[in-house]
Amino acid sequence: MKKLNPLLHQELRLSIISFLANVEWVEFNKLLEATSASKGNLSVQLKKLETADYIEIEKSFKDNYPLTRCRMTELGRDELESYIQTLKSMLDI
Amino acid sequence: METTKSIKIIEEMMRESRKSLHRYSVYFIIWGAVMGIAGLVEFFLIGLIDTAWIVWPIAGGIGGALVALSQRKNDFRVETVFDRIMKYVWISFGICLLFVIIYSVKSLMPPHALILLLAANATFISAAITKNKALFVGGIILVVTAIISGFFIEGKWVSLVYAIGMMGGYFIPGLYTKKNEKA
Repeated sequence: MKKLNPLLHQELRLSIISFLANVEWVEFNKLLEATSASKGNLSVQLKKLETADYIEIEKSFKDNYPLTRCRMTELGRDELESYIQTLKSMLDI
Repeated sequence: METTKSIKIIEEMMRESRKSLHRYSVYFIIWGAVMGIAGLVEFFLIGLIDTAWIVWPIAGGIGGALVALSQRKNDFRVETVFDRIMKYVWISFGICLLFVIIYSVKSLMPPHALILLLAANATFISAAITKNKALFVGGIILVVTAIISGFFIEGKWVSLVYAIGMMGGYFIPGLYTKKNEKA
């Protein structure tokens, strides 16, 4: 049986990628609010997803404040779909 | 992590991201009210003064300022694919509107019917994107009023039908949508 992708099989990373699946982009603070994670933990998990090319992180400034936006890549979308398919087969849905 | 928990997380986060859909009803309410009132004011001014058209730049300024104020309250920390499409639909509407107004002034013809038709087009697309039946009905009202003002009436009555079109096509569907957004 196919194994679940270990990078996605973690609570916060799965939350991030599932949120991003429905949106074009999201700001860091909105993601913080949606996941109820701590800033540090969210940053670490985002970095892991970015390193794997599952998401893109864009840093800029808005009204002199740093602005971080995240978006899902095609690879990230494919991996989430594959993760869901594996889950379904494991649960026999 | 258990597989059932994974499913729960995916469902919850997808539901959470859907909550991020922007509230568009306020724009329909603002433009419907401002343009509807402007149409009524023009209707009463025609015959009294020669420069009744002055209501339109004033209405445009008021509407633009109110939209800018309301945008401060909207949550722009996330953008969905629907938001992106809506943005381009209404930017395109704005560009066409500007062209129609300039062309009509140059050709010495009232722009009301063409504006109603353009508004109907953008409203139908918005209705389809947001699956909003009230906006779909609004689009029909805009088309009907465009046909009436384009082919069946003249003079000051065009302004009155325009006002009805804006109230029925924008304002009332906007209010109905806002009520449902809260629910």
